[in-house]
Amino acid sequence: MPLSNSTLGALAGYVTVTGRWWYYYNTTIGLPVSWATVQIYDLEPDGHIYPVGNPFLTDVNGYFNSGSIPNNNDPDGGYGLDIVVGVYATSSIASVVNSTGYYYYNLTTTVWANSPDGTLNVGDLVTRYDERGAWWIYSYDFGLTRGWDYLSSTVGYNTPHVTAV
Amino acid sequence: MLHEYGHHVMYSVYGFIPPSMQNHTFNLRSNSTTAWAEGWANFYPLAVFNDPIFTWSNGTHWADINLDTPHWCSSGWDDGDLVEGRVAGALWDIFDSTNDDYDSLSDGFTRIWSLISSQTDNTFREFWQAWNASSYPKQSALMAIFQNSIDYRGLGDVNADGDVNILDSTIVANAFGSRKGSSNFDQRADLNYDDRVNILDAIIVGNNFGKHYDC
Repeated sequence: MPLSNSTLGALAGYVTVTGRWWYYYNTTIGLPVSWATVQIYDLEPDGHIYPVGNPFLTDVNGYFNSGSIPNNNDPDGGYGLDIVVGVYATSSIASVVNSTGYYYYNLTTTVWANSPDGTLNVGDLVTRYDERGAWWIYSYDFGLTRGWDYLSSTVGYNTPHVTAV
Repeated sequence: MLHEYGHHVMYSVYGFIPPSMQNHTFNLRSNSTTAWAEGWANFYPLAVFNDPIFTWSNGTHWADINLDTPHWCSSGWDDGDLVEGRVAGALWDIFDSTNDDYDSLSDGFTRIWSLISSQTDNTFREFWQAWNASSYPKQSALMAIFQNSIDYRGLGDVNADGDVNILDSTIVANAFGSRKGSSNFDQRADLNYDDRVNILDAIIVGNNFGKHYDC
């Protein structure tokens, strides 16, 4: 007897999404996006994406790990979340907005449909070349996240959030 | 980018940024508040990367400069605490672990930060006055600053130890008769900045002999 969606939901396991965000430093060099915000989404049949789990940060090398997320079934009949990964140019350290002041530079990926339980490694993801300037802020090699980390680690000062345009 | 973040850091602890001239050049004289605001912002990336190489723009191209190398009367440089690059160099020589000429101080970031974060200064001189009022090392800090053509010594105190005495006279005597470029020229002994060590410098020491400066 086929299981209903609600039964599948009750039986659902967990999925952990891992990967790495990087950005174009120039046409040939990519650098990690350090300490920027990542959000995992589920793509629903209505065509919209809905956040699952809480947002979290990439690490200094651009890697991310969502932690365990309930791998609930979608109404689309398949098992597992339809994973989309988003990265946002914002964190408690710094945000980067465009000239309107409201748009945070970001990118969401294509979908990994019907994710199985366990770990889903989405591999290396890259932000847009034409928006590379926004991501320099999150460069540990020369970005301001490095400057924030320096004060935090050497003198225990957590510099307040800054917004760059 | 870290230069601009340095301004943000100063604003976050001061609540303001000392008023700055719109047009200012790294190696040329501006004014005391601009030199301090920009000097701090120039120094900040050097501390973060523990590297004296500063990348700057003159408006048309980018250039790297090693802030450990400029000295009194360096070609293309103005001298003194109205020059943002001199202020940055002075902070760097307090911070760094490399001895060069008159700089033998290797003090790191903690004391600099302690002053930055505990009170406010509009100029580098005010920063120095706060340092001078603290229990931090004075003589070596004065000479680290002096290395960058900023002279906060007391009048006649050639070796910056706080007293005008025979030690100062000896330094002047050893350099007596020399001109800038001579093998025995000592910038410390050229108290009137005329690029020669002569009777005028000796008179400055003599007139202040016995004085004690609280530094």
